[in-house]
Amino acid sequence: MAVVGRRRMSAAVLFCAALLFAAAAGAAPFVPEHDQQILERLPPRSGSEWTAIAALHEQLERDPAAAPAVAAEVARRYLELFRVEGDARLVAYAQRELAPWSSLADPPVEIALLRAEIAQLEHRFAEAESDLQRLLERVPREPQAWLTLAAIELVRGDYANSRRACAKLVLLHDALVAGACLAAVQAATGEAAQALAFLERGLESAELEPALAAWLETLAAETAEALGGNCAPGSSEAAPNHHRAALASAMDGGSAGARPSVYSLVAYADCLLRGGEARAAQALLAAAPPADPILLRLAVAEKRLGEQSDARLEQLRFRLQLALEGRAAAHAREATYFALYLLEQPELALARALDNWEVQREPIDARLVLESALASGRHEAARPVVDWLAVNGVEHADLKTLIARFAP
Amino acid sequence: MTGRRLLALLACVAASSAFAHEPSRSLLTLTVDGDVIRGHLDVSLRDLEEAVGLDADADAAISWGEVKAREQDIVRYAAQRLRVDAAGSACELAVSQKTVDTHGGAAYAVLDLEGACPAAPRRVRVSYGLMFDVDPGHRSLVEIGAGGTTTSAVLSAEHRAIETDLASLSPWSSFARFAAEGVSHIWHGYDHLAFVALLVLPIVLGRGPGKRRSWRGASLEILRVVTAFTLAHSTTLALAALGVLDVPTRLVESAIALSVLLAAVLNVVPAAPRLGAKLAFGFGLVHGLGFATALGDLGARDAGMLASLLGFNAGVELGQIAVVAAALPMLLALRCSAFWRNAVRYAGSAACGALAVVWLAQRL
Repeated sequence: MAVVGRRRMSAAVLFCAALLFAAAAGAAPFVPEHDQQILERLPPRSGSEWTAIAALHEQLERDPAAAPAVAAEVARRYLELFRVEGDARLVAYAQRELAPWSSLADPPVEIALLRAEIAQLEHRFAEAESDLQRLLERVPREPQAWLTLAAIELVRGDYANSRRACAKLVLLHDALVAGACLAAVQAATGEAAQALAFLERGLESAELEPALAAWLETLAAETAEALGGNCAPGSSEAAPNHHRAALASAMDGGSAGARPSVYSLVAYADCLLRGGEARAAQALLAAAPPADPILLRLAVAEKRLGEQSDARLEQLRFRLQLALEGRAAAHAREATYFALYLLEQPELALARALDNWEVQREPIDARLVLESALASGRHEAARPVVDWLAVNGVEHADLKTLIARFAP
Repeated sequence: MTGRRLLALLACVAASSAFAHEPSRSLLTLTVDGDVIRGHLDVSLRDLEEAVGLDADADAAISWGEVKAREQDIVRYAAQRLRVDAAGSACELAVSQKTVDTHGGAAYAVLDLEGACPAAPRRVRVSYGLMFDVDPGHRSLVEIGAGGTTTSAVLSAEHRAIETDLASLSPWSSFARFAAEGVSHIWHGYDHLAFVALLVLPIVLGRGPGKRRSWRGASLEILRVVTAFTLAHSTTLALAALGVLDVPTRLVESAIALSVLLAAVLNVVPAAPRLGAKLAFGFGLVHGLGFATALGDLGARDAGMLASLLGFNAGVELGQIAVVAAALPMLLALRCSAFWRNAVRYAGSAACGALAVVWLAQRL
């Protein structure tokens, strides 16, 4: 027996030793094997957008007097590329173009609009809002400023001010854009049925610009989801149809290089994942650019399909490291998503979800707070959010289901 | 108007869009030891392409040869934009670039830094100015270590310098904080508790019929086994925390569950070897890796590695001792009856084994 015992014991020790050293050796600096070894692939800089940017840069050098208009045009193109590629460096490049005016309180109108938009994209909402207010005092009839303002107020959950900004557009711009702006507020606040009817009527009108059509379709899809529609097989086709139509419109030449925006891809992927269609979500995102929200959905799809990869998780962990530690508020939503669905650390998720709630208050942000609170068993932590949703009249099918699980 | 209108619509859609991609980020690690400063700055190749240009053949791929060809420019670029001051005068800093690394799937050039300050500094100021002119969204994650403690900061175009009082970083505060975390980890780490229980059960209750140790003998044996377990998990905890070992979390967690299952089986199978000090040591190696994951999640790197490591270890020990001390009188009382001895040993081991199967299923 003693011999048997010893043999088994050495097996156990061997098992431990193997475990320790087989998987050991983490990342460490290294010298590549040969000069031809490719270390990094850069995102392609070909295509009409990049050619145009290069040409505009040349024009700037030739003719400095044209600066504000040309610089604004370059910045605008960087932002359009950002929407389809999701690379934050592109936002930073747009900001770089506007650097000569960065210290001016009242720069030229197009520069001020872009500056506010960049602040909004970086989730500096208060700064974007005060910039826009200041601009509107100067140029009260600037529709773009009202529209951007409406979008910011909507994200922050200030529905009254969002409605007010949309209403200004009725007089200053066309009725369809103003109506869609209002529909986005209605969709959140219990009037989703009217909003969807309006959007679908608008989509029937002929001769829509592809970009406008893509926007209306995405709004319609999200509104259908607020009403309880989803992308599960066998349920109503409204939500998935609108999502697909949004992507198709973008392909018609809506945005840079006829590619769908990261936003519309993520919105459709979320709908598919909620409907249990992990394989379809994976296929949708397979060729999408490697932006954080895309990689997060891909990772969740892979997890559901049993194809989880440690490399993917490590990549996300590195990218979201500061946000997970609570040191990058602009990424708190992504950090929450990662902690809740992939790391499965609901306490950490709840902390980040509440940070994020201070910055943005869209249905997905409420959903992340409620789910984190439920998963960590800390119902009371979500109470202010549940109350806020009730006071502001927010209605969303998913949120309703979640709220029902909280003790009264 | 069309161009303007296009922008307007997209702006509205994108308002709610997440700020999608991490902005460019470099990693700066510095250690101050007396008047000597050492460390490295990792800058992504994408950033260096933007700042100094690497892709000589413009094929949208950066090869090692292309990086080496620009080595002098890279070094000069960094050296001109990085500065360490001690007591108001600049430390000499030599920069070299011989290796690369990967972080989060992206390739980084590793710039080794080595230098000396006029005197051993009590306070250093690190100024960082890479990338900001081409990428205003750039960030640098800076960690400055001295005397076993680390302080960290995120530098940006708006905050380009960090000043650290090296003397004020207290190892004791890190130690105390992590000792508390260690106790809490043991109390909430049911898998470790189960394992400790499985170590203690057969010693107190005996393994075969009729065998029964004196309480003194039992206590000494417990001390031996728990110490072996402790030595082992302290070793792997230290190795993992210091970065020598890096085992995927899932593998570690599964192995811990498996160790509980094996221990439970060894306890109830009569012919199995006794769960003595040597086996406790072997399994302890695995549990240490689990502690390391917890320690990493708590941000030990920011709080000073050595102090937090020692503190966490001490906390884990205290937690373990408390559990054993609480359970021991009850078990010693029970062992007077052969019936209860066997009942507790089999039931306890079976319960732990069942739990381990559940954990294993969850973690695999």
